[in-house]
Amino acid sequence: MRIQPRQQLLEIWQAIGRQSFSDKAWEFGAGGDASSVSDAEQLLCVLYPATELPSLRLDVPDETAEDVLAALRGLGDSVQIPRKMVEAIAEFMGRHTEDGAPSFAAGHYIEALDTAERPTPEQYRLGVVDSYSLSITLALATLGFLKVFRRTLRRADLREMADKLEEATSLRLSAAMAALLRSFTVSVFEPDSERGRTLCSMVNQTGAPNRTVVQQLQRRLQPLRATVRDYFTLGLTTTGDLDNENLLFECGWSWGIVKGNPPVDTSEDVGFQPEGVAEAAPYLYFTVVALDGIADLFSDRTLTLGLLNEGQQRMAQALQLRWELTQQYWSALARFDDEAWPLEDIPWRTTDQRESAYFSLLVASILVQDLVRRRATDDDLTRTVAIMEELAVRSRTTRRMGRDDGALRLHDPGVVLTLYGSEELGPLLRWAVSDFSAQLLKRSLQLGGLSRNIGAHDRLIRLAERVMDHLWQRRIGDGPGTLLWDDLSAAYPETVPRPPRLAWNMTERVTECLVVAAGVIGQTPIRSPRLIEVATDLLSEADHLLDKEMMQLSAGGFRSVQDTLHEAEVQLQRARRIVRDRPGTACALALDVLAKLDGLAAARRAAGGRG
Amino acid sequence: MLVFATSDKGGTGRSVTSANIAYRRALLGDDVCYLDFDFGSPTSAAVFDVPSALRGVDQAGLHSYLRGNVAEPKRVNVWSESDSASLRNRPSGSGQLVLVPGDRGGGEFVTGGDAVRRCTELFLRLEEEFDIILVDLSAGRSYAAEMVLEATSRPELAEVVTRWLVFHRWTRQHIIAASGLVYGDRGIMAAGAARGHDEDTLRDSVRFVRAAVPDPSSPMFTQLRPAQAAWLRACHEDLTRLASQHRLGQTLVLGTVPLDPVLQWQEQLITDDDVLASRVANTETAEAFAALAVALTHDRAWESPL
Repeated sequence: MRIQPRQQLLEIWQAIGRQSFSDKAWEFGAGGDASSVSDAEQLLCVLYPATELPSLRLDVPDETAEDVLAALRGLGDSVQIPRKMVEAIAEFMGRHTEDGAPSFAAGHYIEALDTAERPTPEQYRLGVVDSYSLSITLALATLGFLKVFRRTLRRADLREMADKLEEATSLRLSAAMAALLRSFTVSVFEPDSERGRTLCSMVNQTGAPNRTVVQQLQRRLQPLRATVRDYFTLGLTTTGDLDNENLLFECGWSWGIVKGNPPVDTSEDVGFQPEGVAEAAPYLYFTVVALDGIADLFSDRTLTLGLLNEGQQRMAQALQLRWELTQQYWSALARFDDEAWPLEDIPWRTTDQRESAYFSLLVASILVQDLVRRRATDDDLTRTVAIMEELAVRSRTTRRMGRDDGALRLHDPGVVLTLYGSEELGPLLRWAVSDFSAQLLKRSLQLGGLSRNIGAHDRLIRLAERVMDHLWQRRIGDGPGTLLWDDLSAAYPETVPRPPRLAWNMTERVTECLVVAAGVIGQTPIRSPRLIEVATDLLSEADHLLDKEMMQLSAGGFRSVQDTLHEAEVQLQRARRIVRDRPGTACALALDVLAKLDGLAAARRAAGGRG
Repeated sequence: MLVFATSDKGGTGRSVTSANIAYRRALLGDDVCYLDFDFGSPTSAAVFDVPSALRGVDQAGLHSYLRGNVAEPKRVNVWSESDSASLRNRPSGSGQLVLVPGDRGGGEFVTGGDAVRRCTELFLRLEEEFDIILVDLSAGRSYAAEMVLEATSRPELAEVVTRWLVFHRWTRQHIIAASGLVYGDRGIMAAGAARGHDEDTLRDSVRFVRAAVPDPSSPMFTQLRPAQAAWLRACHEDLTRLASQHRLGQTLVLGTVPLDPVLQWQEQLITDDDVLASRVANTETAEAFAALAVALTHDRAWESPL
């Protein structure tokens, strides 16, 4: 299916309008334990596209597009829509504030690992990296939205509401940044330990002796190690062991605030900083989630709108260091051996001995971000395309799911992550992630946007379209959440997975994908040097023939001939102007001119003149 | 309620639209009075098709009244004096529809304190008698506009609800001109503030009416070539942005009147006959006028939206 971000986003908005608005007020997902993750995802489904894509903006009521108004008419008119959104975000802030401090509770997203048990109320209130990361995205979207929307406000009551919301949002942003700093961890281990051995065997794709691999690893990681030692001070316990260069390490984000990580020392109000309980070991999933949220902190939009205050900027810099380091680390592992990338050896094995195609996808995700950040060469990129394609096949996203296919577990129940450390407050907890296909789509599109190689670009876009086919099928047919996600059985009719269930995380991931797709479409087409060459040659011939034709034009010539020549001249001028950006169009114009000129020549030949 | 209809430029359909609004309000059962304050060219009688007052009345028009020559300006009952067949039979349930024309050849004149006093008195008298008094001001910054700003700033009229309709066509020049008329150096806001009007109240009493707006979905445009349609759309988006920047964006628009061939050739009231029986006019046009008539007293449309 062709990806049409604008139409598809509007279709989603329309469905959300039906789902989330009763009596024209926003309704957060019902259910016992409020989840700040799910609520944020629900809001972002509207707010993220509205703040990222200028053509879908809602913050200038006078400029809201008509199809946008039509899709959201459930909320009201161009004035009411932004007001309802502001009210909805304000309600979100109130809903997820405890004793005046922002709370980041996972709510129903967590379960007890032992299904016979139930998490304790304290555990339901545990903050998670998903919530911190989404809060950053949500807060930045909100702050930018308010910045523009405020300009149109004259009524005192509305101005006050906007002021209050801005204050609450800024506090939530600071709190989320502080919590993310404290959820970051560098875990150090002996090369001889089980973790060390697993890591070495994962990166060792050529059967080199273990000692050599350890040495290579240590050499590769040396500059990163130095960065951690010298610059990481905020919210991280001393990493003394890092000085021992014989040890290996892993870095990234744990599932929540890491046990023992000190409060962030900042003059900024970041709310109450609770003690952490999470195990000091990075989880690939939460690392990818954190990286996504942090990237928004230094996006062009954040910088141009000036959304961060001074204290926040300081934390953002600290987060950026961790962001870069983590990307470099995992990207180095993924591409450890040029001959055979560890990443190509699907499935990826984590240091705690777990294997899954999802982990491969997550490492690929980090690699993609790293490629984007480094504006990488096409070689690395083209190599990643094949990995994406294979992951699509392995996960049965682009293939039929067999009756007893093990791949079904990737989507239902998803990859189950054990939240070590949570047992301090009750039963050991788990977190299931089942967004494989959406994650795959997003990374394929990001790669597609990066690729300047026509072949690779085309493969990625075709892949994205096939994944989109799959995702679009998974929309719920009827009942609660009609035309939103997620109904797995619609895509895999031969299996018996879970019943349809409105999942804001999938819905949010798909809207995010569509925003990425809109960005890709917004780029200028990839320049084909071959086409430019052809177009230039065609233009030169057309120019020449036109000059010849002009020479023959007598003063009393027919009007229609004059018009044709004049039109040809204008077409060629335009073609010359666009030949570098759109050589294909320039070719078409030149060919049209050539055909017109030949029409004149052929007619003269028929009259027996010179052809 | 006092409603002032104004525009910066001519050809905005100000007279024809406000006459149609008056007509629609009367159909809804209100007693409506239409004052022709376009002193330079009093032509509103033509829209109502009242032959006795074409180009103004011979004597006792608004000019004579404001100069103090007569105690009361002449009134024309549209229902009984119009030549138009569909107007002459006053529809059942409708209210009064009275036209107060100017004098023929009366011309613009410099107003003095006396004229302002008489104008105030006239408004007060009519306010008691009519539900809606629609005052058609001339295009641009006129003495008439200054006079009514002066009159409405007086304590006698403080209790009377006053609203301003600013008409403009959907073009670059018109948008900029209309913005200047309201917010410019010598615009309504500045002139009103100088006469003691509260700025916020005055701003909230101004709404814009977009006239002759091409509606791409209308049957008139089904024959457009794709290139023309693309051009039209791009222009429309540009104008939307421009209007927003000049503070006359959608949120301050009371209504939009589509481009209608009938109004292009002849300024007239669009009756239900024109739409349903002879079908010379577009339904959308009649609906736009009716919607404007309703919006005129719809309080939410006049609240500061944001």
